[in-house]
Amino acid sequence: MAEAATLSPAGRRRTDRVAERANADWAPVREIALANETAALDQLTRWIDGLGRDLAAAETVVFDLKLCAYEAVANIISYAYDDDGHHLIKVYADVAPGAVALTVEDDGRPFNPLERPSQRPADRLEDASIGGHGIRLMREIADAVTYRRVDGRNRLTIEKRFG
Amino acid sequence: MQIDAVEIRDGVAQVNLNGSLDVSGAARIERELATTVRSTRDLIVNLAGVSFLSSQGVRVLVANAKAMQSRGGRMLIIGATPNVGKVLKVIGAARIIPMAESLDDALKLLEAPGG
Repeated sequence: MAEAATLSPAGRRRTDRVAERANADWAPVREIALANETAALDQLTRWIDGLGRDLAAAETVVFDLKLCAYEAVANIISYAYDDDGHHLIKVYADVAPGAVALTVEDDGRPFNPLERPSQRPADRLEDASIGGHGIRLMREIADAVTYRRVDGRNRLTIEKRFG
Repeated sequence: MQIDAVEIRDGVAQVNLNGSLDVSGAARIERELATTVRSTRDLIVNLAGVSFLSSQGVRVLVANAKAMQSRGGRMLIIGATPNVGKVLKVIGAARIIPMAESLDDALKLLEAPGG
């Protein structure tokens, strides 16, 4: 397709991403590149607040999107890389009528959070584990989560429906 | 993220948290929360001013609740907004750190037998 040939590599990835959602109603709206450092998490939450304002999304939808993306990116920053080098984590926002999808892409080691067994919540405080809850939180709060490994990158899509 | 602590009565303190209780928020309050936890028997944590809560924030609450319990004290939560309450519920923290509607209800829970 001639149009695709004119796209930059980043643009082609966006087009592929929307196409793979198998729904012509999805459209890309925003993207951000984050460094693999803790300070990027504040940048991410501000970016999602801005996205929520642009979409006039309800406070709960913005909270849920922020939470899911935050847990995904925090996990990548903490565990995805075997080196201390600089890496970029990209987050793309796509919208469709009544839904928002955030796709988080990283070049870290392959990791599919959907294959991780869910940790059962403890009944008693003395049995509670202190950490390791981020992935369950993301899976429970999102309406759909999909994972693909594409061109040496993890691509996690978190979808939230509303309205 | 801001934290302030007040003594409600002998052996019972309250901390008020304000802002985002996430990775950086948890790092900012960790030391003062731990200091307050060491200085009181029971602690009421007021989350009314917490606008965002991530798993790293819950981690700090659960770690301190465990520390209090190991010394015979208790932590209670008041003021959680529906969004913050949802995070506590999904992680399971709401089952192990009691939540009360108000300060009065929290104090009644602490006075109850076994409290």
